[in-house]
Amino acid sequence: MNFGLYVFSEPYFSWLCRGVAMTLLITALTTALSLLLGFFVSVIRTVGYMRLRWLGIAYIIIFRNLPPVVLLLFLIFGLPGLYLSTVGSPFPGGLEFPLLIAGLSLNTSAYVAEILRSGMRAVPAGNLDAARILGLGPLSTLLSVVYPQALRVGLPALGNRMVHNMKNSTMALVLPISVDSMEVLGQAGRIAGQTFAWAEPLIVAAAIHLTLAVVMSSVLNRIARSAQSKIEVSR
Amino acid sequence: MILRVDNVLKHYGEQAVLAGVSLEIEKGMVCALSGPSGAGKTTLVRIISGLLGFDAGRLIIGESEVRADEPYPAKLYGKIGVVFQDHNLFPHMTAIQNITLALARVRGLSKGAAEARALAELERVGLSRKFESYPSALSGGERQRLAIARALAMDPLLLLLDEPTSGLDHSKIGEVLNIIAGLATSGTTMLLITHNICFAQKVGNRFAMLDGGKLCVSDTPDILGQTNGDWS
Repeated sequence: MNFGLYVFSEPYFSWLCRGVAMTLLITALTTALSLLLGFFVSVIRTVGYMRLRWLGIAYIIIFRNLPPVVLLLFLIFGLPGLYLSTVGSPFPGGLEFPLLIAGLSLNTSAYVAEILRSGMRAVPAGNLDAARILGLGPLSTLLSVVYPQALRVGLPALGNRMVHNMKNSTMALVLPISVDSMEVLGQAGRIAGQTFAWAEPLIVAAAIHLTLAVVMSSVLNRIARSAQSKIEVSR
Repeated sequence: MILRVDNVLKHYGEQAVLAGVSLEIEKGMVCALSGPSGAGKTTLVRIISGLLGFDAGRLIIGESEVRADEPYPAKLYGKIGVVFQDHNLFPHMTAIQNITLALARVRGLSKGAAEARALAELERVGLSRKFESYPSALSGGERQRLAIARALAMDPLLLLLDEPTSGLDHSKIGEVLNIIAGLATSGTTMLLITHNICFAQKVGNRFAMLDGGKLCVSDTPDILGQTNGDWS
């Protein structure tokens, strides 16, 4: 019995390899962009200007509570129509992949901003006093004293978000992206479309996701433990 | 004159924590300030260092005047060194990084110059071999010595030490007090908050006592009479 082994024959194996690469690329790009966006949102959430603060709060409420698939469908299918009716010219084509990254990043960045904010609250008030007395300005204090500690505190939660990003990459399945940009689940669907059998490609896709998630979680946990061990002050 | 505290008042709600405190510290002087818990000692340190506002009176620090109704002058931050009870070291930075951060960002020193200066200060407090250690890897006494080195690296006009040995076990108190005694000998201007009367008498040129928000004693340490001379 060679149940499912055809999945590892050509061209399906190459498709799956391509899918793994795209899954990892989507995860990496989404993580990087969401960290950047989340950082800026957490900054404006903490500044003294109330309008900026409210902007940050609104961002978090919207993008944390909106289902990511709704956001993605809006960006891919809703935005072009809106663009045409407001600007008067067709929406540029070929932007499905960047919009996928943008949509997933907007969703994750709202969580990242809250993780960073809770990490900032864990920074001892005495550290802020020390920074002020040493003459460090607000930006230097934020970048050199607050964020490095907030990041370490938030690393386990940020690692979880990275694994979530990988799982969320499967939402690309509902979007009209090119076969070259398809992630693992998309490629599994492509195989099923050719072979008319769903079970084997889906089992392989699930096994790939499970393996990637377990490996990623274990590496990120190790990094988090190592980073946090340095800031634990034994008394 | 390095510091003049002129009739400073501070209230928390209805309660007067400092009820018209006046104090003067000359260059090179070590003023030991004592008093019961809740007397207002830490509040006074926080006011002098610009961490806390006050309700009336004024401070003169070096050439700068600080008034109750005006913000603390930004130029004074970095010019007063403070060693807190619980050191407040940056836990994510090594010993040398704790010192070089402000030297580079505030004083504008190059990386090499900041590290050279930091190593000199670590040497001064006997921690040069632990320059790459994180605070979590240091003992309580070593952390407090590192906090002293960090403050000294900024060449402060005045060093405020707020009960630097509180929370340390008996074996570590001596190593911190020896460093402070060395600083007193080398002419560092200090306001030392301490309950250790013997040590206050040994290193202080001035002894003051706060009680109930008022300075009830401000005299030479001779007022303390004979102590047994063992400060640790």
